[in-house]
Amino acid sequence: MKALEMVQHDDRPEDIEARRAAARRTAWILAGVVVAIFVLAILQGVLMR
Amino acid sequence: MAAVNPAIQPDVHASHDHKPHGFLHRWLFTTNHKDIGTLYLIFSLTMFFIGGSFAMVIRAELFQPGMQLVQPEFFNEMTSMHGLIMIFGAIMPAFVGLANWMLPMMIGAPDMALPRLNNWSFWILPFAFLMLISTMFMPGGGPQGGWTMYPPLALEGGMNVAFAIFSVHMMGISSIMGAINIIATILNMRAPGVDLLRMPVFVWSWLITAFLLIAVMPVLAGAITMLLTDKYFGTSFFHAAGGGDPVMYQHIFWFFGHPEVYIMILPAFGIVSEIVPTFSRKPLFGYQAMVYALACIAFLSFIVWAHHMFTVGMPLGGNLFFMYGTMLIAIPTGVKIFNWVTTMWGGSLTFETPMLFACAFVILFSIGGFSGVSLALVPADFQYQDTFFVVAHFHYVLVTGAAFAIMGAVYYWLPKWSGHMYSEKWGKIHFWSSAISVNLLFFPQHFLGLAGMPRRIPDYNVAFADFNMLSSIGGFWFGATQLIFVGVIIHCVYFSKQRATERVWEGAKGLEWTLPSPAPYHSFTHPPVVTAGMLAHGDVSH
Repeated sequence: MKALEMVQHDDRPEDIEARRAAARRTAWILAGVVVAIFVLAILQGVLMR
Repeated sequence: MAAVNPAIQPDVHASHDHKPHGFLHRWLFTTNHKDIGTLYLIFSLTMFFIGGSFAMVIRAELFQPGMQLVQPEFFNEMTSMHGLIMIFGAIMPAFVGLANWMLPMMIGAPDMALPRLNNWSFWILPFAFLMLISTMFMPGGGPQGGWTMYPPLALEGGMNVAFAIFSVHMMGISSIMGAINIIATILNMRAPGVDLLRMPVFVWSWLITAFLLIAVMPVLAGAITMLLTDKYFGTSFFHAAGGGDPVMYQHIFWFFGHPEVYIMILPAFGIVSEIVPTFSRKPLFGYQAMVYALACIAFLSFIVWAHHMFTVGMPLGGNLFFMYGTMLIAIPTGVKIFNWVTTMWGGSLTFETPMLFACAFVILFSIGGFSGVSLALVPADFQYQDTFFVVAHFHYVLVTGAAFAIMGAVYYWLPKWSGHMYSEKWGKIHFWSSAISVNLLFFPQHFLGLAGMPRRIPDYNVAFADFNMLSSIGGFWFGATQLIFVGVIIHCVYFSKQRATERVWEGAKGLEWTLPSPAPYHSFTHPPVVTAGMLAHGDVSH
């Protein structure tokens, strides 16, 4: 239930520009994840062959 | 009943403002989520007809036994290109188009979080597909190794290999950027009061789908990059002669490929979860269970990939793990089917065209699900592998599942987009003609597969002739029927005299239905004040 309350808690900033800035940070983090998965996929190919 | 929110009134008056003038400025440089959504939808419809025309060639060749119309090499090109175009060009972009149109309006955001990235995500696609289709005019023709591009067969081609791989890379980049944008938008741009567990299920389905895309599209990119280096740079990741392993490609590909199946069906689940409550005039039964079932299906999709390759010769333990894992997926999927039916139960049902497509989805997708469970059984799969039974299974999932949900969504939201009602009579004609023809097309393929007819062959034993003829007739009928769909859309957008109301459907609930029809070019420029009763799920009064 604690986790449920946490995801339901609305703590996003009111200001739309602040939200866009937060969205850009989210996007960069996700882009990093994408690159990491791509590298892992190739690495897996190298190690498993 | 959703009251009109005073906070959105300024948008109503600004609805005709700030629209860019000039064709290029409006469509090439657009950063507006509605314009980009429209571009995605037009693009996917175009690809649907191109991929569909390849399917017509396949069905024409298979109309009778013996070599009829095309050479075997060209037949292989048709099956490969049909798969690539329908998956990456028709189904996925259609869902992204629907997401672009609806997500910001559903969560009370002014636009997608990263509008210029959104423009780029779309405009990569036409060039990617031009490059892919151009391979058909190259010496040696286009890819002939199937949409899965298994080595060593896929590497046997000429210059098409590099073009096809680069075009798939571009499609992947487009999907990844779209997914990043969707996650960033949903997590950061929701209006106050639209908390995660108050979001429409379509938004949830896309949030989960976007995470799937982020997780598996780079894996596909890695797999085909290794294919590329094997072909042109002398590596031997998948060359047995150089110490590589072709089966490893299959493992890596299907680690992408199985979640990809859910990428193409989870947004369809979201759409059906919007349509069914509206036309049942009841809230969705078990909202949270629906959300958790989506997440559960997404998780399970990562641990079942090898059920696509039971016959490569895995250890018994591996076969058992992937068999039981696959069968587990039936549980959350069953929860969803149960909840849709229970939402309808006792509801004040009406059967407008979107609801007809949603009901057909529930029934026909279940047929695809049942054949999926059959295929999950290892001993049975040894019989079914690479037969038309598999073709029947995944077409029930992707045509009567994903494509029917997309068509239902277009009918459901078209009045909100265009401001006009479509012709209900022609919508229903389109539905019934599609529903009958698609079953004539794909149901006999179960029998063909069970009788042993292999997939991906241009010629076959005369014993399979009758069912193939029926299937081909269904195919031509289904293809021709889709011209009605185009006619209904064009009529609705340009010629319909019947204005759509704000809420369009009596039972519709959610922020998007508080906007005027057609939705203003810029909506929710100020976050709406969400009041009790405005959202379809959750109570904002406490």
